[in-house]
Formats: sequence, structure tokens, C-alpha cells
Amino acid sequence: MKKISAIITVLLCIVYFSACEKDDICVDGDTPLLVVGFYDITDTSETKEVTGMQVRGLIIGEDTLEVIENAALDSIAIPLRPTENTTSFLISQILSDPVDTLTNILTLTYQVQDKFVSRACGFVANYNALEATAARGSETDSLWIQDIDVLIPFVENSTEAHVKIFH
Amino acid sequence: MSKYSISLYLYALTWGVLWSQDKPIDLQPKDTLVYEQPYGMRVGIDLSRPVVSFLQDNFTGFEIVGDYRLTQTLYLAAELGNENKTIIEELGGEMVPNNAELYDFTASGSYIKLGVDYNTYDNWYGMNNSIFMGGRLAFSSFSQTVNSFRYYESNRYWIRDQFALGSQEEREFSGLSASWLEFVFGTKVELFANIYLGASVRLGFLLSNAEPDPDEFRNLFIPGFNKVTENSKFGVGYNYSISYLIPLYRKAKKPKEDESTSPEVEE
Repeated sequence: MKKISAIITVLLCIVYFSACEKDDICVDGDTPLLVVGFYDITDTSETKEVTGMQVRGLIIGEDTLEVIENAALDSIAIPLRPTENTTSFLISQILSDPVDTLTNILTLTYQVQDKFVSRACGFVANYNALEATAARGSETDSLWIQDIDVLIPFVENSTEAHVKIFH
Repeated sequence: MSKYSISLYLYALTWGVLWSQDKPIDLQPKDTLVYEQPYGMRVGIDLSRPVVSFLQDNFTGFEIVGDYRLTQTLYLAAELGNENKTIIEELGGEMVPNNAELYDFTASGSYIKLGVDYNTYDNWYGMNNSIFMGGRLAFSSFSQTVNSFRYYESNRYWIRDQFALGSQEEREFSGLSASWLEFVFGTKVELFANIYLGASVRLGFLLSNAEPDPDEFRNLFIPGFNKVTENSKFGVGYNYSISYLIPLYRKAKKPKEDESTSPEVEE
């Protein structure tokens, strides 16, 4: 009988602890952000800050979206839209607010690849065949983005810059 | 002469005693009524699965249970079942927004478990109950279908109130299988003649698990094994059965060695 009660105790412990699942909280993955680095057009290996940089998402025909927070002025991590194959951003260079603001549109096209991560995280989106183009924000804006280089066309993490913008 | 006659006398006396009484008088007669225990096959169903099927929309299932008594304590035992379970997985943890549905999938398939049960319970006269420990080798063949999923994204810039919809097309992963060892602890109690009510808890240990491409989906629920926990091979389950004993023959329990001949030494 002692043996039986020992077995019951062990079994109950296992049942009890198996309820505390560590795979309940998502820590294994996330949909990556696109990392854009800003570089000097004259010396392409040097980063160059964008004066008073402001980046907003752009959906044509909708209200302007809020500013995406950026930690530095020479790079920014921006979220792509996994439900579309193209995402646009308004990137503004604010020389003196509000008089001298140059807004360019950065448009990214890509293919969405979904990837299963884990029970807790479910699926995330990765982006493949990334391409980037720049355009004027309006007739009056000048194109301050002079060249774009896609370094990593497959976006699966946000650890290094995928796109270099020269200005 | 006298020596001879004495031995003859003793001889006659001995015979006389034996002739006069062909059985020695037993002053402490033993209980001669031997209870013969029923041997046969028990078949039944699990009660919990139909009840859960009725109460919950996301589950349908049944399980047939059976065992065959081999010896006083040993039974061959088996379970055969089918389950269909739909699980909606939401983002877990603290600081989770209201609508955090991640994906929705259905696992569907059949399983068979074969093994033995060992009865550890010494029944009193006339009782046929059991408290048993057992082992099973189990096999499940199943499919999983992702009904819909959303992209998990901690940065919710474009869509604030929920995750961006990935797909609502069903993605079926079929031809999946798994095998596992199961430790069973349970009881079966005779309610009425030949009708038994049982309950058991089970601890499974995965031996093999044929999964889809891990970038597409994984085996998150195996019919019969239940939830698969990441980085762990253990699974837990239970059943409540009602079964009927088809009695085939009766056999008396082998008497134990008389305890009075080997008294236990109290320490």
C-alpha cells in the first residue's frame, strides 16, 4: 500500500506540474521589422544622420498614421504589412519645422512567407524578394533619397540593416 | 515370547484405532467453501468522452476499453478510440491585449493502446474490485488542419486591435503518426453483477512523433496522447469507463501459504 501511495504522489506531481506550461508565453519568435540604415552618398560606408527624421506609415487614401518611434537618426526599424505585398512610408527630413520639411515616399515590395514558430507564438511573417523604391512626397518636395541598396532581400530577423538609403 | 506378544499387541492396537475411525477428528475445521473468481473478458466504453463531446463544441470522441483476465492479478488490456479536437490558441502571458487570437487548428484521428494491467488489490471474500497499475504501447494515426491563423507581431503599427490575418484557408497535414508508452494507474469497481465502473489516469512518454515540416506546423495535439508540450515527451490523460464482464470460466484463488507457519518477527 505504501508503494501505491508513493506512485500516486509521483503521478499527481507530474500532472500538477505539467499544467504549468513554459510554452504558454511566446518568446521564440516575432514578425521581423525591416531595418533601414541611412548612409552618406559621398562615402557609402559611413552612416549619415537624417536631420529631424520622421517616419510614418502610408496607406494611400487614408489618414496619415502616427510617427514610428526611432532610436537613432541614422537607422530605423519599420514594420511591413504582412497582409499586402507592398508597404509605403513617408520619410521626412525636417530641416526647420514646419517650414523646411522634405518628405519622400519609400515603397517596399515583397512576398510574404509565413512560418510556424511554436505553440505559443503561432505563425509569423517573413518577407522575401524585397525591393525598394523612393519617390517625392509631393510636387514641391525634392528627392533627397539619392540611392537605395537592398542588402538582404530575405527579411527573417531584425538584427542588421536590410536596406541602405544613401543621401 | 513376552517381547513378541507385546509388539503384536501394539500392532493390533494401532490397527484397531485406524479401523474404528477412518478420519482423524479435526477440532479446528477449515472453511471449505472456496470462492471461485470469475475469469473472462471485460468490454466497455469511456464515459468522459461522450460527455465532453456533448458539453463542448470543440471536441468529439469515443473510446472502447477492454481487458482479458489472465491470472489472479494480471490482465491483458486495450483501448481503442477516436478523437477530434479543435483548439483556438491565443497569445499567453501578462499584458496581452483583448483579442489576441493566434491560430485555430483541428486534430483528428484514431488510436490504439495495448498492454497489461496488474491488480494490486487483495479482494475480500466475494469481491472483484481492482486497483491496478499498468503499461501500454500506444499508436495514433491522425491529421491536423490549420483552420485559420494570424501573424504574431509584437509591433502592432498597422492593425491595432488584433493580429493581421494570415489565412483562412484550411491547411491540412495528413498522414501524421505517433507512438508512445503509457503508464496507467486506475481502479475498477464492481457496481452490480458483472458491471464495472472504472477510472484511470495516464502518463504518456512519446517514442516517435512524425511531424509536418516544423516551419509549417507541428504536432500540438495527438489523439489519445493529448497535448504535446514543447521540449517535453510527456503527456497526460484519463478515462472513466463502464464495462461489462463476459464471464468465461471461474477459478479459485490459489491459497496463500499458511501465515501461522512463518510468523513475522516484530522489530
